Amino acid sequence: MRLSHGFVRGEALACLYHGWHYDAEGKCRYIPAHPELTPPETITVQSYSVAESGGVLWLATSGDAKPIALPDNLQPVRSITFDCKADAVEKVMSETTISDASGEPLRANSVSQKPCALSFETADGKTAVLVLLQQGLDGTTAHILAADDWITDGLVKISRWSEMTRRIAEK
Amino acid sequence: MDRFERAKQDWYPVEMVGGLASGEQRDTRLLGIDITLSADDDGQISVSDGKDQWPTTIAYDHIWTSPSSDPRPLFDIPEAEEKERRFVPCGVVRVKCSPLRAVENFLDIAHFPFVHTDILGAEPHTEVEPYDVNIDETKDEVIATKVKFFQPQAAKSAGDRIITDYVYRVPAPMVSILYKTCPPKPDAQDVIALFVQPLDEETCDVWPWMALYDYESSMADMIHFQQMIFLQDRSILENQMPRRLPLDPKMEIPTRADLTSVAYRRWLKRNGAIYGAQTEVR
Repeated sequence: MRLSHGFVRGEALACLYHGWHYDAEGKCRYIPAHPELTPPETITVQSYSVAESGGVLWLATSGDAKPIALPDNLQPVRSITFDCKADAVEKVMSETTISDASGEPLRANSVSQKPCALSFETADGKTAVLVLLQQGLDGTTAHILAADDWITDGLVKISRWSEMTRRIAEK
Repeated sequence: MDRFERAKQDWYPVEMVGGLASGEQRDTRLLGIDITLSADDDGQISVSDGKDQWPTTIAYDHIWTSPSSDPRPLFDIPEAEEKERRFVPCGVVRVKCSPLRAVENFLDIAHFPFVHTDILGAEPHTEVEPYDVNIDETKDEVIATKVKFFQPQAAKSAGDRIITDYVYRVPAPMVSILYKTCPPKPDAQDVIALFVQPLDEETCDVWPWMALYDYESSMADMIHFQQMIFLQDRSILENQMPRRLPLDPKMEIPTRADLTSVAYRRWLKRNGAIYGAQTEVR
């Protein structure tokens, strides 16, 4: 049973199956079936360094998480998956000017190479940010965020635009 | 070691008595083999793999079959002879898990407060007191006794929270039977069994069966209660890792609460009952 099915309870992550509590270092601190027992140190799960930036959680598979500096005023729009490599998505994003349904162009500027983050600016100066993560060999996840001065209509536009990008990138 | 050698000697449930109407057929699978169940004009069920007829027997409201022409004797549930009990075949639940995982989860009480919250267990009553586990050498089965657990609603018939006493038996690798305090009749015990039909090593059809002293609840209510519990278990079973039950003690960390499971895994290994098991460390 993966701990991701569990719940945060107090300062611990509790497993869904038997309620074992794990602290931030991954050490088991409490076994409900044996409340008096101090769990042995050997009961430890792998833990990872995590940091927050721009409303995104960043995880490092080794060492300390080093997030990309992103603006503070971002709101989440959506996460979208692509059946292609991150490079292909980035290429479509940065080399093609894609128009949304109303014909308004969105242009990409590179914010960071690795991991890849792109920012977009609309004609009236609103920004959006997209973080691309390669998943396995042929998959990409994009987390899309927009500055807090976007209103609902604009957020819907960004969402539609990301789907158009996907249709082109997956070709 | 041949993964099938022990598995093919046992009987397995494939249908409830009366589950097929006269003249009806149904395709299913057992140990990875496609089989067809056919009910003749008298409702008598035969089983075939397309080439050979398989033996059948009727027990505990189910039809049992085996790929062997000379299977081991079917285990005994003496309580099935007690006519004052109500016998409740609960239907079938398909679970994408190893048949051995389904049995092991049934033997586990420590998950009650977390998976069957406010029914079979509730915080803060999470402690599992020491209990006894043995191998009954004459019957060759695992038996756990003196198991106790605090339960908010032990059964459909339970009006209030009680401390429930449990006894568990594993008389065959893919069968488990429990005996638990009967709420309306404290001197007697309800019987609940899981009969597991292994479709393959990572998929099974589970046929729960009960023999209860409950004259109040309707049949539908008793079945609903059992199905609610088992569907909660299914969400766990389908997410267990690794998919097959690890038999190497280095693979998982047991605590004292898991003694039944530890005995079950050792007993499987000793019997070469490795269908649905992971025998090497990965």
